[in-house]
Amino acid sequence: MTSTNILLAEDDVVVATDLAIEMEASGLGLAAITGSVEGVLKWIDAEDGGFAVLNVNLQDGVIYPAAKRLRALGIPFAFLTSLKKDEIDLEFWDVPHLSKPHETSAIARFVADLVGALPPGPGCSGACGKAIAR
Amino acid sequence: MLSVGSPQPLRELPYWDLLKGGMAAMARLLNDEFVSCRSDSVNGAGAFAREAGQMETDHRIANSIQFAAALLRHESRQITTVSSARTALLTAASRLAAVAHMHRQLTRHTLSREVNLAEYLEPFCDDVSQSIGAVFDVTAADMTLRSDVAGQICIILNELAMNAVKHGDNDGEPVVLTMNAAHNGRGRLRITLHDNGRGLPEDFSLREATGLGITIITSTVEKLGGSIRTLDGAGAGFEIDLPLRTQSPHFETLRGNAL
Repeated sequence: MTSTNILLAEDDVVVATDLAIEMEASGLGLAAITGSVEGVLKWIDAEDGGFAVLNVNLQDGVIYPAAKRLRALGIPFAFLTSLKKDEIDLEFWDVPHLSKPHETSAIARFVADLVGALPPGPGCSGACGKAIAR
Repeated sequence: MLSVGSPQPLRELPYWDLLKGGMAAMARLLNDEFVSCRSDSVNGAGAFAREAGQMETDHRIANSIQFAAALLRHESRQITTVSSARTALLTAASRLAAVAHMHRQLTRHTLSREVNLAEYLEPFCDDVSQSIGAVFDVTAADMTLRSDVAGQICIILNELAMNAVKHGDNDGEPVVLTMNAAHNGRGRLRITLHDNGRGLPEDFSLREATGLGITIITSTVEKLGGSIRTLDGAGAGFEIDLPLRTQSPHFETLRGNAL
């Protein structure tokens, strides 16, 4: 699998750590973990594309402003949240969505399938493992 | 040593009773939640309150199950021997007990949303005393705060209590955590906490600590918009500063959508 620059936005540190380990074991190029909308915005500014896995409710607010920026920049993303599909803002009805709770390996497969379907783009050279302020 | 793919039946492993106990506790927790939901739907104040309350409960359960699964997976990575398996499962059970306590309290206080801190902490401290043997000596000013913030404070206190038991080196003496909660200027809460153990290592740093317990503590404090620092003096000491009126974007979003 081609390693891709992936951001995981999840404010539960135990869930985020578990998923990060699983994603890396699956060969996904995890670039950063953040628990805040601010962290997502920093990642958008710092990185040249990639893929974002987003919880909707983060420690400093809802993800929608950052999701709008991702969409405007053409950076693909998916939601991983306890919200059901019909509880997500209608503007993002077409965004791939996986509801919690889900088995961690199933979440990693969900992300891997989405990343695998992406057209060739920026890799993780130099960006993998980079920390972003939570 | 445990080995992957061991032919030994799971039921014969020494920690099977612990595992069963953990699963039973989770089942009780979920049953309590659903019973509470049904009760709300009969006795609730109105359709909107019922719907919002049920959505809130559903999301808390979903997040907690994801947390519980991640926690057990994390602990499983620490297991190399039967003894370490026992420790890992006891640690996970204690963390799940703190989450269960939070759920019980949140279910009770969903509609009022504001709780008295001292009243909220009392049954939690009893639970901790029974589950891990650490005793809290609490002095708390008369104050109210959001029930979800109080629940997160219990998660933090539970981690500090587990650390005190694990690292305090108390030579068989009871572990006592002396806690004071007071107003810290306008709209803020300051919690100080000391245990009666041997204290933190000289080179200890909250920022550089890598253990899951400290990570849970610092990330929870951060999530609540607060700060934490270590204190000098006998035993391990911490000071936590929190805003009393933390916004909860999660539930505001849900309520917004329900409208």
